[in-house]
Amino acid sequence: MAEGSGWRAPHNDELANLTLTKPGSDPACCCLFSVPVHMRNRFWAMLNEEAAKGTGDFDEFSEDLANFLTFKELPPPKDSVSELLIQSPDGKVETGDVWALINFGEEPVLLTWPQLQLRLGPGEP
Amino acid sequence: MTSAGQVGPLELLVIQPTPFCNLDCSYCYLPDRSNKRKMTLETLEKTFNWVFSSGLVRQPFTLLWHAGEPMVLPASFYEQATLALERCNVSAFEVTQSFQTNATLVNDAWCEFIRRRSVQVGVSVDGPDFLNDRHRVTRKGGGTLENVLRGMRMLRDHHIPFDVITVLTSTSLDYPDELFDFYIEHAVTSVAFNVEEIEGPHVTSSLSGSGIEPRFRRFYSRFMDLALASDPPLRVREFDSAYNSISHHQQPDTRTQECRPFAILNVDYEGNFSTYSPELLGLTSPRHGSFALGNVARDTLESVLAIPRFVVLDDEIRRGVDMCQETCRYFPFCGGGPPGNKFFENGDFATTETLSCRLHKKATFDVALDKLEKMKAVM
Repeated sequence: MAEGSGWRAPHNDELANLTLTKPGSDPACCCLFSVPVHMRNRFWAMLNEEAAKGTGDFDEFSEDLANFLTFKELPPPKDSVSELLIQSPDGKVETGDVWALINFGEEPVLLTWPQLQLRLGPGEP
Repeated sequence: MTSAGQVGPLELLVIQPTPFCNLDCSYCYLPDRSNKRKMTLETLEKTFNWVFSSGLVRQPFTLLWHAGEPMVLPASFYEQATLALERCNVSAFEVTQSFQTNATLVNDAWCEFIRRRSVQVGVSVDGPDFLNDRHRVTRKGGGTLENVLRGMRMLRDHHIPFDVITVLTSTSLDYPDELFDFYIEHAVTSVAFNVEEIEGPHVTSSLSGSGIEPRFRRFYSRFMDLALASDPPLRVREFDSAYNSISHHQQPDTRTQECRPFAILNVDYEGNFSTYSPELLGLTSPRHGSFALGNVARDTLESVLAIPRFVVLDDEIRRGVDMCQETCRYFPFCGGGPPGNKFFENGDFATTETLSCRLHKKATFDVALDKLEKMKAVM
């Protein structure tokens, strides 16, 4: 938390305000926000349209997603590109050199680094 | 002196059948919401007799049951009230009944009454749990959303249409997408945004801090993009209101309901009545005394129009509206800021801009104008 010219760890009540805590949820899990349902629905509608007519517009969707992230004060870097990665839920996620990864699937995804494991729920960036 | 023919006509009759509310929302302006007293049927009948014999009823009007929670009284009370209303309304003016409710007490008996009497319903809910349950809490401090959603489900199951009113706080401004998701998930088709206001005992607002206005505009702009793009579009009262103002360009001398004497009549459970902003009823000021101007059991409209308290109040409010007209470029689309907000924020009715003006009027108007211009450009 910003305090004066420096930073400090959040107090418990501030942390509760910042994080989504539900009964039964993993207390170590910190989720600042999810991609909204309307956007996830649009993602699947875009894929369905692509499959049915070949007219699904991933670029337009990506632009809308960037607008959402910009609203959340996480604007994608200038000149960044969006890529769609399709894989089975139990497959290994190759994160590579990405700025952000969003799970648009309906199952959680486990990301593994040497010192860190991260579980992305549906819609979580 | 103002005569009865110079005030009104009545457009909105707000009756507070009890000050009690089963919730204890942190931003509530009601000073007496723990008081469980209720309006008697005798007082109710006197109220309707007063209204219809006052000369104020010259056109259809809305009867709004409001403040505290109207549904803490049983549906049978309102059945009796409707019969009393019909007895007193000898000229058969069209009266639309409306409830503003937290929906936590909705049951089958309520739904049956609402359907049979074609009552309009507005539900107060502030969005998903992390927003709603932050402020809209029980007397023990617990969240209320689960019960509200149960009530909304019951209304839907009985095919009762309802609007939603959401109070925006500083926190809400970060979550337009989440609010939009909430309305869509719960089949809400029409929403109105109120802003957390400084009123009565609620003397601070999370929206009065610095940097709020750009955040509010950003929130509202994003929300309107989502609402306008949805199919069917989610209706937003503030956008509709701005659209109507722009399309029909109100005349500069058109004053809002709240600024015109006795266009609104507010009556409490004891039959005390006031006019102008509903939240004034039940409050006093050292300079004005009680904002309740009379009682339906003993005071006529003519007698109230002659008392110094009304004369001073009316003069101050008129001067305040004149000042709005002289200084505010939004006046032709607004008609004057709400007197209650002016008084609670500025300490005087003869003033101009309030938080409500900046956010609820000016920002929403500017955003609506911007959206309409963009829509026109692509047509």
